[in-house]
Amino acid sequence: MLLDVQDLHAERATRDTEGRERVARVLNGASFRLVKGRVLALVGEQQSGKSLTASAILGLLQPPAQVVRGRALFEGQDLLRMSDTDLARLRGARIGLVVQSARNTLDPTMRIGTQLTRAQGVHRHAPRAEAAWRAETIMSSMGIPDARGCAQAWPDDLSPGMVQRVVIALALINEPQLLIADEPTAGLDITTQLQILDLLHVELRRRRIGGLIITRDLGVAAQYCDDVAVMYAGQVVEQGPVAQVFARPAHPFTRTLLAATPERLSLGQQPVAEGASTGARAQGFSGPPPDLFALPQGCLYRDRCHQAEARCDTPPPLVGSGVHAARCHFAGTSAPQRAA
Amino acid sequence: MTVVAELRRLSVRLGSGATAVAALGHIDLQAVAGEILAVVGESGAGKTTLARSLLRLVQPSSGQVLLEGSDITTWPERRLRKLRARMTMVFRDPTAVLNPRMTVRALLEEPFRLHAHHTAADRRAADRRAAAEELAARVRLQPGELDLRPGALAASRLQLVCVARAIATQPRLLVLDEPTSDLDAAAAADLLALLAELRAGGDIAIVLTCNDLAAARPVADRVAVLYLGEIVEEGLAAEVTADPLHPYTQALMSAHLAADPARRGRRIRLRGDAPTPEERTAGCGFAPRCPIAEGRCRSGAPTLNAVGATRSVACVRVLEGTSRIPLSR
Repeated sequence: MLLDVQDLHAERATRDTEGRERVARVLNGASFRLVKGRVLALVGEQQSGKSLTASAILGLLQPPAQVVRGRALFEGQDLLRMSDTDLARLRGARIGLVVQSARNTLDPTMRIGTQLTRAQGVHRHAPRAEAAWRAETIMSSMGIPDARGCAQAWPDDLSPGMVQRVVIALALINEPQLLIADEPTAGLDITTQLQILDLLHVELRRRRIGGLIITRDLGVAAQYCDDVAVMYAGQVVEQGPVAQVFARPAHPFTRTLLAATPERLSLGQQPVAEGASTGARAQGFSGPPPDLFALPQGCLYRDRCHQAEARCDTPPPLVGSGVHAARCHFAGTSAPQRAA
Repeated sequence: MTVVAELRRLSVRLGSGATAVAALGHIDLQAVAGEILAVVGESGAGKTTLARSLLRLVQPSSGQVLLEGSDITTWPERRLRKLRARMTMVFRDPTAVLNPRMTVRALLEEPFRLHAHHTAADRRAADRRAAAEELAARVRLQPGELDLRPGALAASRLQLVCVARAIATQPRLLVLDEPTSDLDAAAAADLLALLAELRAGGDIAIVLTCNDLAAARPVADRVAVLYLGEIVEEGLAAEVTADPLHPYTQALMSAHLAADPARRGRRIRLRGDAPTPEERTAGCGFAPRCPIAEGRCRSGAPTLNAVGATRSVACVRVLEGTSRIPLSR
């Protein structure tokens, strides 16, 4: 077990315009497990807590946000109870991180090569020649055509695709056991996205390490990941091997997300059923996002769920068979597989 | 078939002097009432320039822009202002266009105030208020959201406000520039469903730009694929997505990540990044990245030729039937 996140809860306290303190419950029971050699996709909408989970695990949550409950075991040690020094030693070394807005990770005043050699020096004794050689080697393996030239370049000289390759190189250069990539292809053209995901996939497999890919795109999960955990309102609502979750989604939110994908969405000119009006749109796929300051009692998805009933007032149990489980009163029953 | 808006041999150069670049070259395009046209391309392709050209928000270098039969290519803004109720636009980033100090209700009432001479709900505040509420219901905004300001709403909800504002005046032409690129999948699907509903009304021509051809398939009737400012393939959406002919269109379809793990197959992999207009080479713009480019592709630029009754493609190999790219694992 490489990473075992157990029941993570986090809050963020703010003051409203009248000075009253309000608490947003940003994580409400995020649990998932990651095994070495496998890639887990953490999927969910904006503000669902995906990136926050990664920040929380790595001790990067800034006040007024804080973890209030839970454990995050990495190689058996609880990251949430580790000292800042120990965490700093892990980050960038045993755990590599690729953040969103990759360009912001790079220091615009430092050449690429220097950034790669410094990233090594922070964590181990790295004589200059060796560090430079490692930097060039890893850039080549990232598919950067002229690694030597790129080492001399400034971040602003690079295209978005190249920037992403450099940021991944930075995350991998110290041979981590776990790579966390937060929306690694956001903002990239789809043809570039393919190159970057191929690259990540090859590196993760070749190094036989664990990968956590945070994404809004179910296609990324389906095509590049082994397991998937679906988040809603700061909670993992369904989890399991990709093949199973996509074939037999157990949670209404997962089913809605799948139904919204281009492969399944049907909005043609002609009505599908005789007598159905093209003007009458079925109940929508989305809705206002959950109010983290005032979450409902019981199931957090209740207000947006088309199947919600009285019993959804109580927190739903985790239902499932071993690897594939969902947090829903109806999971595992023969409830109709209505998508939306 | 009513053509609502049209671009004829339109070229647009952006910038000035030595650094000017050709953002669009010789575009012929028609927006037809009751139809959704998807203009697909990656960064640098010219999608936004094309969208803005339809609304005369950019000055063309050559060619014509027509709206409802009138040639508006050289109309000054004060004359175009009268048309702004008839052609509207939704942009990619809803947070950038909405006045953060206005409530959603006020933002929805604004088009009725500004274009009073075009809409029935102009005379009385009560009419505007009712019209705004009806608009909110139409795009599925919730009553509670009406009294909030943009800062309190998620991007997906704000995009609904933008679409509502764009349809308030019952335009003939609605242009949306990557409206779903920054939205969650569920919100994107709702937005596309709303467009399908608008289309069903029959009066409005909708043009939508996007960067993922496969994602446009559920809602588009026709597609035009843009590369470096030129249309490289055009046709019925169902046909182009099922059987893409141009090598770039094939690559685009192949690059789409299907949300279906059973469909992990071979793909077309392009080298390098999407080029910017400054990087354009002689001959076919796609040749540097094309897996099946030949010498002649670099010497002469291909023209858009009809292939069958419903398709046009700009590739010399298509006419010879040798444009299918072999897939690699």
